[in-house]
Amino acid sequence: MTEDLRALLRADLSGERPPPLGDLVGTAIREGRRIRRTRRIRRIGAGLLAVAAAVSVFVLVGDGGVAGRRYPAGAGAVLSPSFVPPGTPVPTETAEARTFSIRGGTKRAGGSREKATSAAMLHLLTQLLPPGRTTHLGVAAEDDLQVQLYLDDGSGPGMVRVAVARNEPIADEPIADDPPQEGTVSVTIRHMPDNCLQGMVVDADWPDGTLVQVDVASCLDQAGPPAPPALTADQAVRVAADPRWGVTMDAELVDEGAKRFPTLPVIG
Amino acid sequence: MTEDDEFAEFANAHAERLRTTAFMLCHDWHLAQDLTQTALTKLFLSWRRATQADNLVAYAQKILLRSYLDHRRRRSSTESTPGVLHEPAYRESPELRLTMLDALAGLPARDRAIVILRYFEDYSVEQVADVLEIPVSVVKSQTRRSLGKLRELLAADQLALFA
Repeated sequence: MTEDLRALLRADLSGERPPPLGDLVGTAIREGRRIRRTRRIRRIGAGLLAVAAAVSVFVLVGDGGVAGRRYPAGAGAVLSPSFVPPGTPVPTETAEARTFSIRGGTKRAGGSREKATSAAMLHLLTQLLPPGRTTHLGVAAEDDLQVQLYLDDGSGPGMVRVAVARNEPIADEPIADDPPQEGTVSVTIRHMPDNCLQGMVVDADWPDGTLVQVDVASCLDQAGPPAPPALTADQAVRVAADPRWGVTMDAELVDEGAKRFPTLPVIG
Repeated sequence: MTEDDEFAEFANAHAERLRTTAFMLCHDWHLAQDLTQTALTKLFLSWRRATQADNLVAYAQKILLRSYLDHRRRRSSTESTPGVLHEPAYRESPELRLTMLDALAGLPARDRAIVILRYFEDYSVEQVADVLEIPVSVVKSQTRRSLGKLRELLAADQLALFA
């Protein structure tokens, strides 16, 4: 009976015209990596939250401010607003949550590259931000490529975090529905109303496996009041999709970052 | 070879089979595609643990079936009742004969999964019980009931297969 039933099912299936599998496996891998990365960053975020809470207590008891005394010399520096150059916004749609590709004009940077550093990331981040006052600069522990700062354009400080990671590209598999193209970055914008530290998250996935995540917080502390988002969606996309991010970065950026931020507070 | 490469190799080798199972469960290729992708994503996230399993394919099938049953539960309040078939039409007109896939669609979701695992994937009663996390006795009783239902639904020339 088993064979007969199986034969009937197979006969039925042979009459079916299934659609092509397409990039089902590649899509599953990319989604899995995105979830894995989000989980990792949330873990780091929990650490950051704990540190932020500790700092808040420290300030409340009146023993100094965050900048200048809480951290080593040079850390928590307040940058001149004029240091952050205005950027050219990337044309994007303004839907609530979406994924799209940016092609052309965003080819990965060439030239001499070195292992990325948190200082280089902060250096690049401050170049990509819109004008404003930056404070509370910090980096993640254990060589995790994640940095954080507050940006205040006059409406109050908002927190921005950038994390960079790289997975191996999927061997022999197309990265997207369209064939992968050099210089094409897939950008996803998500809104997370239940997590104000990641109120808006912009992911940029490069064909070589480089993943850039920009978190735009809508609070400075999950237990605290709302804070103005430091970046609009377009501005966050511009930051995330910049081709200079990577686990290796332009040697000049790394060098300049080291000079500009010789020491930085560890925030998580 | 990295873990991601190992996963990609496994997934590429078995995605078609998983999707076919999903299709037999839901009778909708697009939903089958979604269910398979969901199952593969979950498998990717638990890959290290999955590779410790005795039968990796069965592990993947288990994830797929749970994804399907979860999907059914989420949609149960809005979906029409399955299995509303017009028997006289197909019994009187041979060209309208009900296919096995149509008949399967007339079974409740879990019973359909039992039949597919037992008679298409060739799982033992114990394996089906493990995958669906139900007692062996339930697998046996539901299998009998499902075969009886299929017998009612299928055309006369196919009934001999259930003798």
